[in-house]
Amino acid sequence: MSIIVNLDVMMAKRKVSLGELAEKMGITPSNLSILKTGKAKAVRFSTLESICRILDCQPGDILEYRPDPHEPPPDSF
Amino acid sequence: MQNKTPCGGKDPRMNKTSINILCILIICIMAASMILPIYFIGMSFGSGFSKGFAMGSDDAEVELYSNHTPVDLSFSVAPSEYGVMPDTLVTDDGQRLPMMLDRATVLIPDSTRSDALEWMIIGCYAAGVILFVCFVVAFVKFIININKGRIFVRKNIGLLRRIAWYLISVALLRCAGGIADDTMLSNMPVKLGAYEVTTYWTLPWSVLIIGLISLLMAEIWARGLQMREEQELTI
Repeated sequence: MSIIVNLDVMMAKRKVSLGELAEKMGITPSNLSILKTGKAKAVRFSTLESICRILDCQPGDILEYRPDPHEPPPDSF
Repeated sequence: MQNKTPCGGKDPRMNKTSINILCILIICIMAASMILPIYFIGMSFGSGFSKGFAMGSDDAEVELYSNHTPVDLSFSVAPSEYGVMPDTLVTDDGQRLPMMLDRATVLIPDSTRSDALEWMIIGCYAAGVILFVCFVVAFVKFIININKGRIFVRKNIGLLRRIAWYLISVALLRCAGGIADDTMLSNMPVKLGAYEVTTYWTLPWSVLIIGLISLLMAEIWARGLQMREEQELTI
């Protein structure tokens, strides 16, 4: 997957633990762990909103696009 | 206080009961489809055995069967003139009813017998029986999984794919058996009164269609599982 989740970096910067963030967001630590480890297939806007609100950051601080070197480039526009 | 179902939907126990009833019905029909033919074959074998024992004392009958192999060959027959019933059936009360045959079975004379074709026919039928047993086992496993609430799991996709390929293979084997039957029949020109002996073979369409529908179901099941996994991994 070309989308990288930098939630752990942001959590370390804000000195927030996984359990604490999960509790504040109102989701289970296991679900947040799925997101943090990059196993999630999709993120709801509401989840992203609560992460940004609690960690005081932008969605771009959490998600990053890194092109896959093995993937062929898309057709030009 | 009355218990309410979540989100106003159907009571899950109702679904479970209907699945249970359907599972029991399917298993009963499958058991009947296997046990009844065995019972009727056993009955006809018993009566055939006693008749054969009686015929053994009749020299003329022994002569008739002595140069024939005990392999029967089934073929289709159709009236030479369309819509004409060439035969008559007499009921117990003496009423005569027009009748036509559509299948016939003949004992093959030794002179037209082909060992290779014979073994091919026997092989096709034996492989068909083995595949049918495998199909029943896979189907019962699938039903048990559904009954236990394990519906959208990878095992079921594998079972559905296996069921589909067993059915498609059975259809193709029956087709191969039919080709061998017809080849053997073409070695032996036969005439049957007002009938035409048809030597064409057909695919068992219903089995093939059920097999292909099972394959389609397996692919839909795989997509369903993928969607469920996506849903579960959406945070």
